Amino acid sequence: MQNMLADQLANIVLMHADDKLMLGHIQSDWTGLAPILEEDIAASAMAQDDLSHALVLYEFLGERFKLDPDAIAFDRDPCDYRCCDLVTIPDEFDWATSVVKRWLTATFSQLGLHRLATMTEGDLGDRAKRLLDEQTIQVTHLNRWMTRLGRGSIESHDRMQAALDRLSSSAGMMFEPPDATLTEDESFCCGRDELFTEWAKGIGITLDAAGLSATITLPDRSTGGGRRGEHAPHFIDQHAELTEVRHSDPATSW
Amino acid sequence: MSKVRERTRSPEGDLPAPTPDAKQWVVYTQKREGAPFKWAGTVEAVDTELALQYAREHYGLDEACVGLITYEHGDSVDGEYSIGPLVPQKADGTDGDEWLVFTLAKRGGNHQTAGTVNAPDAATAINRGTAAFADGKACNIRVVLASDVHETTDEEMVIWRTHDMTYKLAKGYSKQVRSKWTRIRDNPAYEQYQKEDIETHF
Repeated sequence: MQNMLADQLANIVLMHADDKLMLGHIQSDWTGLAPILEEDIAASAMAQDDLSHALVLYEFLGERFKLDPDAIAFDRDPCDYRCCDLVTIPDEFDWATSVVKRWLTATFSQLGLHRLATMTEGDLGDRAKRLLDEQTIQVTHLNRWMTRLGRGSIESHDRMQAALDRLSSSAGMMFEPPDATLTEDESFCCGRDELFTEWAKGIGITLDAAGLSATITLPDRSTGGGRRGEHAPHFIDQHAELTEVRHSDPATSW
Repeated sequence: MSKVRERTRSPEGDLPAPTPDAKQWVVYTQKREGAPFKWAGTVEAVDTELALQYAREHYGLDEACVGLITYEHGDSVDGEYSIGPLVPQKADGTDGDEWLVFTLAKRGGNHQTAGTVNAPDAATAINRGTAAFADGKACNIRVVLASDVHETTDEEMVIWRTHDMTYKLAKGYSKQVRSKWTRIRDNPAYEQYQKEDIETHF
C-alpha cells in the first residue's frame, strides 16, 4: 500500500477514485428520500455509477501495485484518502446542497477523466474513456437540475444560490495537487491553471443559464486539504461508517 | 441504513406551494440497433428532457438497451382491440403528417414499433397502419404523431452502462446464485455437517 501512496500517478488516480467513492457513498443516503420518485431512481443509479467508477480506477491501481481493490477502497487510514474537501461536506439532506455539490464535482471529474483518457500508462486511458460517456450523462443531468431549480421559483433560486455560496469556498480545493511534490504537468496532465480555467468556463455557461452566480478562486498550491490527507473532522466519521462492514469481517466475501 | 439518515429532518413551518403536476410519459426501449422499440413503462416528468433522462435511468438500466423513445401519454391513439387478428382494410394514400405505428401481437402483451405512415388524422393513420403492418397477426394498432415522439440523441446513447452491470440482469443473478449454491452443495464439509446434523436431531 505504501508503494502506491508514494507513487505520483497513483495519487492522481486516487484523487479521482476517492472523490467518486465518497460521492457515491454519501449520495446513496438519499435513496428513498429524493424529492420525486423518478429522481430518486436516477440519483441512486448515478450514486451506483460513482461507486462503479471508483472500482474501475481502484482495479487499475490494484493491478499496478498488486493490491486488492477492496483493500485500496477500505483499508487505508483516513489520512491516506485523496478525496477533496468538497465531496465530504455533509449536505444535511438539503437537496439544493446535494445538487450543487454533485454538479461542481461531476464537472471536475469529467475534465479529470478527459485528462486520464490521454494517459498511456497501462490501460488507464482506456478505462477513463469507458467512464467518460457515463460521466457526461451525469453532467447533463445535473446541468438540467441546476437550470430548472435556478430558473424555477424564487424559493428554488434562493436555495440554489445559498448552496452555491456555501460550497464555493471549497470548490477551488478540487484542484489541490494530491502530493506537494507534484509538478503542474504531473498533477493534472496539462497544468492546474489551464484545467481550472477550462472548468470555470464550462460551469459559467450553466450558471448563466440558471441565473445563478459563484465566485470560485484557485487556491495557492501550498494550501493543503483533503487531497493531501488533511481532512475535515466529519470525514473521520464518514470513513468509519464507510469501512464498518469491511472491518467487521475483512475476510468475508460474497 | 446509514447512520447519517438518522439526521433526516421533518419539514418545519409552511411548506412551499406545490409545483404543477408532472405529466406521464410512455417509454419504449430498443435492445439493439435496428430492432423495434418495445413498451417498457411510464415515467412522470415535467418536460421532454427530463422524461428521456428518467426513462434512461429507470428503464434503461433494467436490461441492456441502446435506444429509448417517449411521448406524452395523451398523444397516442389506439384503434380497435380485436379478439382475433385485425383484418387489413383498404387504405390507400400517402398524404398528411407522419405517424409512428405500433403493433400489439396479442392482447395482454406489449406494443412495439412497426414503422411509419403518412395520414391527415389519427383514424386514417390507424387504417393505413393496419394495412401496412398488421399482417394478419396484430390485434391492435396504436399511432402517435412522429413529431410528438422524442428519442435519445447520439450524445445520450450510452444508456446501458459500460461498466459491469450484469448483476442487475435476472439471468446473470440466477447464474451467480446458482453457482454459489452449487459450491456450497459440493462442499464435503457441508455434506458431513448435514449428515451429522440429521443424526443428532432426527
